Amino acid sequence: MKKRLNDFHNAFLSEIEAALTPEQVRDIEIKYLGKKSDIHLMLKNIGTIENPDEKREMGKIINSTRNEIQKIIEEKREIVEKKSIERKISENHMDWSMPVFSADEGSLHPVTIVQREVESILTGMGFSIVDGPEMETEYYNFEALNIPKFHPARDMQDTFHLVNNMIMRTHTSNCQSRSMEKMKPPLKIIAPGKCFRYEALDASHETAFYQIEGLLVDENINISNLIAVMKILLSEIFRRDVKVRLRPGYFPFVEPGFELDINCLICGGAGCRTCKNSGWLELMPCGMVHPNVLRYGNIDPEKYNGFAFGLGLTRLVMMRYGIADIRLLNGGDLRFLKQFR
Amino acid sequence: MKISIKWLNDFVKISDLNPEEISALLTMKTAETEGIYRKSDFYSGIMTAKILKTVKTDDKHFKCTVLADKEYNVISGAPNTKEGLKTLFVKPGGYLNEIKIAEKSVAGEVSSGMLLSGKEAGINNDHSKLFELDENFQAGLDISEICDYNDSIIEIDNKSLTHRPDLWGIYGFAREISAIFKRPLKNFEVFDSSSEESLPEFPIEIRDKKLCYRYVGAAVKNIKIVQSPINIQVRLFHTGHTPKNIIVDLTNYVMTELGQPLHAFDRNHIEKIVVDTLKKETVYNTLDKVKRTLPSNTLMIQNNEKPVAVAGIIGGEDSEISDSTDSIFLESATFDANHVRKSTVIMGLRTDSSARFEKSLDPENALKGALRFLYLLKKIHPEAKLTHKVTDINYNPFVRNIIHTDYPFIRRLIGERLDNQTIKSILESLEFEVKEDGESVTITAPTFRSTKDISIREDIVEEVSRIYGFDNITPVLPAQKISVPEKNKMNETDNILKDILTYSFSMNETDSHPWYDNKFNKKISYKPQSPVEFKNPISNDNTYLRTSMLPTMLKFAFENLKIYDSFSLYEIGHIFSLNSEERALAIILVDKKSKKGDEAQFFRLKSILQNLSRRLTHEDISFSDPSPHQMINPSISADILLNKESCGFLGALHPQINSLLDKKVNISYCEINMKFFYSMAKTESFKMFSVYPQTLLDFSILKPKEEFYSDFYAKVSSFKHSLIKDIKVISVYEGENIGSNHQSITYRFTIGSNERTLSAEDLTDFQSKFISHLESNNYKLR
Repeated sequence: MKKRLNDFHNAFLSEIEAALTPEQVRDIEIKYLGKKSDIHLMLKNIGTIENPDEKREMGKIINSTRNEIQKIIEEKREIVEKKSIERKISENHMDWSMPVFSADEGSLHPVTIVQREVESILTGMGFSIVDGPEMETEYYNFEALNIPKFHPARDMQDTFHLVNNMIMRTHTSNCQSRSMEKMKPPLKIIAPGKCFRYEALDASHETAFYQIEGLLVDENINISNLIAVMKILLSEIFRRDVKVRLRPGYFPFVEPGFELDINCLICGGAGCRTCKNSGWLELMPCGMVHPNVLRYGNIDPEKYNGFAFGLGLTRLVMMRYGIADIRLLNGGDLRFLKQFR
Repeated sequence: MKISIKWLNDFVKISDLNPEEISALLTMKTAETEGIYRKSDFYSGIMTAKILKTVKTDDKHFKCTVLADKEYNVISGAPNTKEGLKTLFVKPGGYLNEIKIAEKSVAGEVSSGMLLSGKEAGINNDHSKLFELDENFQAGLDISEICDYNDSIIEIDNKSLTHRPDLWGIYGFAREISAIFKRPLKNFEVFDSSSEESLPEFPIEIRDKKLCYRYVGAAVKNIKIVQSPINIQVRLFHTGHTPKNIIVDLTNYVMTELGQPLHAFDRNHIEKIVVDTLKKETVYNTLDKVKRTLPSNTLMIQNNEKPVAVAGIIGGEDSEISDSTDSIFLESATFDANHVRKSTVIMGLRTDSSARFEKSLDPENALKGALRFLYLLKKIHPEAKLTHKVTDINYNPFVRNIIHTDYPFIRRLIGERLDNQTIKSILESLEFEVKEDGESVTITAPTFRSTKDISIREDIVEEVSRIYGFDNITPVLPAQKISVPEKNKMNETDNILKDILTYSFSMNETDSHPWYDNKFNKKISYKPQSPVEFKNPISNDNTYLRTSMLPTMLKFAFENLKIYDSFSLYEIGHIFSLNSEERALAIILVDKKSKKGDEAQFFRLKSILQNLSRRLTHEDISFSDPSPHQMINPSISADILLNKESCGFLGALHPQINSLLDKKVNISYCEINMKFFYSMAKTESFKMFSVYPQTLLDFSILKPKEEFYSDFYAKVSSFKHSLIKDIKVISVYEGENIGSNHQSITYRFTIGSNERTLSAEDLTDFQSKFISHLESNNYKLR
């Protein structure tokens, strides 16, 4: 029986040595340790040995041989499994530089993108966003802004008039009086939105464009505050320190009124085509709120004052992306839109 | 407006300053300048010359010997070429309007330089003959020695002068420059009429005193209609006028200096001036040789009852100055600004004169303007003689505005520590009168700032701060209480929807005009329901505001189909009706045509809407049978409900649209009133999930095809059981083995308990109860 066990052991060793795959190891395990294996039979037959010492010793030897075989199989299995994984990895070597097939990507309109940026800067500075209608009464668009009847700004040439005696708002300043009626000072609002001017369409003039109107009303607000807030706002918008200058500008709803220019971002002030060689870009009308406008909004101009500004959002978008033709913005052309992913 | 540096120098000494500096400071403190025109950049080498000898070379041409700085042989074809004529000449190598003049061959002869017409010399627009210089000019002088030829002209943006009637003349700018540079302003010299007081008054009657505040008239005889002295022509031409003759030129000259328009009539047509409105619509020939229909109530200047001019805008043809005029009647008046403006709109005619009157001119300038004209005329033609005294009918309603304020207010609103003296001297340099009483001040505005410009204390702050210089104000952030901005639900909702549609569903956001394109509507046979019409549409194709975004989005789709086969666009835009304006979300899907592609698109849209709704609220969207829509396929569409009312629709486009397109595509569209989304609210909460194992049970139920799914589901889901955690549809099957009248709907139930692990009995109990529920509703499992 000893010889039989020895032969069995030797046969196992040579077979396991040759095994290369986990499957072969598994087959060997079944063959040498399974229920039908020789060692199993020998263990079963151990009862036929009569000498108890011999029986005990034989049992010991068979069990230790079985344990050894088990151990060798486990070791071998670990090795071939590892090898097998390594083989699989190396067989499936991939070319990471192969192209991908991308699905269509959506896009936001560039006005939305820039509007969000400016809104986030201004809400960060404490301004609330308000809305107003595009189809507006003459009262909110003109009268409440101290633009009396017969003022040149009311010319048919500039304003779209409708048969229901309303107009298309010519600025988002229509939100000034609407907000003053609803909120009490201190008041800090911005009104982004579309406005309309009755003028001929060309590369730089649109009948419809976006504006963000800002209004701040509180006690003791002055010109120096206006300049400081505008400087911060514009530096944030352009993500760099910008030089600004104020010069007189006339708008009936502010007094004093200003035109705010920024140092030309193209040439840095040296003079170029964009700034018509002046080194400055006209960017934003602004000014101290006219006391009449406060009165229209039921705010006491003896106690409160404030400033207002009108940021040309469409203009900003064109500057940001270098869009030369304003008509692209509302042409719905995917060749244009797809670029703003 | 164009202002001449040389002309300004008549009133304030600036010859030592460079024009760029003046222009820059005007922009910063007064009005926007648009550029500087330097005559010498365009013209050079022009001299006074005398024709010494002429020899006719052919029918038209003369070979001339011309004396300038030396003798030149010049060919001239001008009809007034003659020996002895003093004229202007450009030397070879000189420039005329940037073009270099070289020696060249004219009619077979070499010409060294050129004899010049007024137009060629850049003095007037006359190209009919050589410019004729006065006899007393010496030949051989550079043209700049005899007139303000080498001038610099600053162009001012007229829009920045809307509120400043005083700046519509060069004298007004001289006053600003005197304040800015702290230099004295010279007097504006006028004719001294005291010696003519004994003459009779000229008959002038103002019938409408509300529209004509003042009328100054002067009748002058011994007039000769000749060309103006060269310097007057040069100055007028440089400031944008066309020199004509001494009388017309002087009216323009005074207007350019003072901003006060004048009009000269041929005296033979004027017996008595009556200023009155038309009583009925009248056809009238104006001096620009146009027959105009004037509405009743237009203010006119009349000779007795016969109109001779449209007040403040343009003169009449009959009373115009002609070459034979020997006496004139000069008008210098002030008219109501709004009336002039309205008349120009009605007539469709703006003139230099109306542009000024509509700014509310100072009536004091009416008299000043007339006297300035006479002063200049007498200087040029001393023989001119008044036949009547200068007659002044004055109903000036304006008074000098008085503003009571105090220095601390001015300082506070500027935010800069300006001392009292600085404030006072700035105001005085602009001709305001300042009376101090401690810190209080009483400020009296000059007449030329009192017609509309200066009336409140904030106006004073503007005057002080602009001359002080906005750049000299130190920026300081406002001292304010900290406050949190109010949330804007609409803005936030718009942004959420845009992000989902763009980044989850790969759509492209558009932006469009809110009006219809009538041409496109006609093409797709779309008829809007009672849209709001424009009184003044931008074009005949854009006469209505949109009531739906559908045509806009479809037009974008049509355009893009020229290049792309499949895409999806969306926009949150405004739609309008006579008394309301609302925001709407519009989505258009375009795909290559496929079998049941329209249905697939419909369900894609439906799932997008469910997704949007889930993001904004926990509520499900309700749909209902579609209302009829002219552009939508009635078989593949539905309405969207908000509180049981329709607030939008989705569906495949009506198949008729496809016949308009070359490409085979499926198009679906959806439009929802944004109030649907704005009304949504989400309650934030968390429910503890079961920690015990859960079981999935699938049931395939046969549904008769003709049964409406939502009715079927209502019945199926009416089964209530405490162990149901979730129900999901996982497949819809039609086809073999179930008969053509049925669909098989497979639901996956998630079954579980929060308290325990389920037993086999739980499951069999659930199954048998559900199956008997189905049976009681006459449904069978597949």
